[in-house]
Amino acid sequence: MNEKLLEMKNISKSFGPVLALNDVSIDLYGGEVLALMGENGAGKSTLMNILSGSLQPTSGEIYLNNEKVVMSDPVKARELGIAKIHQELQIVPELNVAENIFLGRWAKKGAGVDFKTMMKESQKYLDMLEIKVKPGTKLKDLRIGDQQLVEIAKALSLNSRIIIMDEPTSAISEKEAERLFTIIRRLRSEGRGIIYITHRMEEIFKIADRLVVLRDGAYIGTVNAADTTKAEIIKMMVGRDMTEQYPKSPTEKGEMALEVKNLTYNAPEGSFRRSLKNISLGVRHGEVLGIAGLAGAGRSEFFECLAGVHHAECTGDVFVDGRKVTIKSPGDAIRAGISFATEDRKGTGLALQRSIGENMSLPLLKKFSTFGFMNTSMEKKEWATQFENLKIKAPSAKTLVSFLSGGNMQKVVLGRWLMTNPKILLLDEPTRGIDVGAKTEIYQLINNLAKAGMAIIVVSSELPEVIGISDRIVTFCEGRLTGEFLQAEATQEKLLQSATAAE
Amino acid sequence: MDKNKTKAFIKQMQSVIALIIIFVVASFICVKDGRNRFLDIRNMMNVLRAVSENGIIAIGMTMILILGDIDLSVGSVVGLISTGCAYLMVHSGLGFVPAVVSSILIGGAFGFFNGMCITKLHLQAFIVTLATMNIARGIARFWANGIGIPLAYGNEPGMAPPAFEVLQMRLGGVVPVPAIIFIVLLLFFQLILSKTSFGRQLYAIGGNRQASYLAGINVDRIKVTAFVLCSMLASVAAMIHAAQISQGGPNEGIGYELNAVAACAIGGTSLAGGKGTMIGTLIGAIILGMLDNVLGLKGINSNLQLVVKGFLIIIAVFLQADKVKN
Repeated sequence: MNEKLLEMKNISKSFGPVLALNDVSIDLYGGEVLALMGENGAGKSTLMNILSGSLQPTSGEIYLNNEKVVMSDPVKARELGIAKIHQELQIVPELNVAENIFLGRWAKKGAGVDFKTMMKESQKYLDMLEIKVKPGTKLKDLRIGDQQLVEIAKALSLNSRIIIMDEPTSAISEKEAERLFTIIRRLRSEGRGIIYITHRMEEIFKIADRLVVLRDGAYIGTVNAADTTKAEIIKMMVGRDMTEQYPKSPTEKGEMALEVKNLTYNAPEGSFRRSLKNISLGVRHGEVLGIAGLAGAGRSEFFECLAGVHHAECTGDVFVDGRKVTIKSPGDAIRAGISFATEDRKGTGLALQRSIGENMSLPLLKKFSTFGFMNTSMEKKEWATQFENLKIKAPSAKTLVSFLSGGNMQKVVLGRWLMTNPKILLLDEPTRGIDVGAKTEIYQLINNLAKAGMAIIVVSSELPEVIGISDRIVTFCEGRLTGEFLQAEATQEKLLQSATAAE
Repeated sequence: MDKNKTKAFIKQMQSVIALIIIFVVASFICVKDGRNRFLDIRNMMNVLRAVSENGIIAIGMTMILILGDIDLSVGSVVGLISTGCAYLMVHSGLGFVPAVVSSILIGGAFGFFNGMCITKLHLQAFIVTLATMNIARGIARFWANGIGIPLAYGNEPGMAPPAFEVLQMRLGGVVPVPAIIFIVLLLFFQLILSKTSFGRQLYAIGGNRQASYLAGINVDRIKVTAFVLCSMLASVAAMIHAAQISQGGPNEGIGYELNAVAACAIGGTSLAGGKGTMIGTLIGAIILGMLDNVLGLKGINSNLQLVVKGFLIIIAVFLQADKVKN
């Protein structure tokens, strides 16, 4: 084995009375990918923030190459060769690739900036990674996957020995993820150490050498990726057996709930949205339809069109329970019985500064008010129902949403849409970034709703998930519907093939 | 979670604590020749009267800030409407009720224009109201030829209806009428914020505009309504102002928009939107008014008063800010 790059010894961190990390020790060797696993709130981010200097440990020590160091701040950590690639990329969209790579340390030429040298230097690092991106391109004109690679190039230019990646694949397509893995393997072969945080189990076996599992701020164990199984990791993460990950049971399929005919959407020029061409599909009451596809295939745009967001740019017919509906705004969609939970809870789902209850009542303010005055007892009853139904973990409906974990936030979003009593529920990545326990609860919920006769369409980028929870799966590729599979015949390979089968 | 609640409570009470401190300090330092000039009931009522104008404007501003927008035109609306109502009464011979109603409607129309520019043309509130701030001021000066219109009360032509004088009277010779109007409006709009679906929508839009839109809320309509209400409230303040100085002047109300924003900010309303209460704004307005009063009583140079006020705003907003990151 290679030299030991890093050792974090007996790290504890408390925020007031809350112990976020309790005596955690990990080590990292050169030439390995160490996966850091754990449910939300397990302490992964805290540990990595300590390593990258943004947080100071309450107790514990950090050794780099067997030498004790103090990460007083992020700059110090960077100087010591630690680079962190955040989930939300730390880029300046208006600056070009070279300027971003050398952000804060632009080459000087007299009183000005030596752009020529910077361009040349950047090209060198881009070439090392075999990234086909020009140093002069502005970051805002790149796809997220490419932006990420620019951040990796930046880490190379800083000569970082340790690279931390926090859920790097959460916003990119499978294809881009494959490319990322190739690059990670190259970095590994150069003797760098990589700490990799992810919620996607499949990736672990593709890329990681060893895994460290944290739970509730405590160190649970380390295993070699080659010697373990998914079930074992999940068991370590949640501390209990997961009898069945996808609790799918057969449901009675009823009448056609939603029928879409020749839906076409022309994305405005300059927008990063995908245009849709002649999408036709239907969902029955009691049926779960999965939509698989790569990031940017137009799946979210399809939902947005059904929800009336792009009314002006959409053509085609939508039928709910056999009746043609015209949807000009999200309000129209809700009245027609179509509810849409977006993929971005914080960005487009919830008002974080407001309470759980207020967030849930949003679409129903009219129903809950008389002459504009809120009828709180009526709302409270509904809130209580959803609290129980979804097992939302919070002191009360008055709790601010910002205090909740990702899984509970997602439940609040779902609670809101269930309160509207929809005929058709559109779920865009309903389990993204939430822990395994909450995921299972959401699968169970989808199952129960279908049983009760709701028609559900789920967009998911995780192929096993989309196969596991759907009765039927369609694939989107570059704005077209390219395939349809029953659950029994669907395999990851088939779906992936169909999702990349653009003309 | 309980700790969060306690913390939040202390934070909420911060402005109240500041208010008490200023009150106590003022009570001690304003004693001269054995007479407490601050605690004097007349003085207290003067503070309340002075607070009313800014307070009424700040009620509207609170709603706008909760939306995550800003309205810089309110000061100019004060100039426009104080001129306008004086003109309507003195030169057009309108009676009390028609003059008041027209003034509020003109103000409302102005707010409607602000709101339409922001929602339909997709412009930033800051820029739109910066522009309309100039427009309102210009109209006011043009209307009155750049000079004030004095108000003399009586029933002859060229005189303002005596009923208008009520706005500068004191109930029972003690409580200023503007203060009563202010408190009634404040309670009314606090009720709107906390108990109505309109209030919920203001907070929701300020908290997350896109999420509110996707939840079926008519974001544009709520925004326009809020801007209309804000300008109407500024118009009410304008009429009180005109009655107080017995004159409608096109140059009145300069800088009032910032006083209103300051009152809101001191009272804990977030300029980022989604947070704020009317009670907070009341406390903010009283803190500002009391400070003006004390500095005046102590005979401190009025220019230095501005400096002190500026620093106070920075301290207050600093204390209100969420300092816990993540």
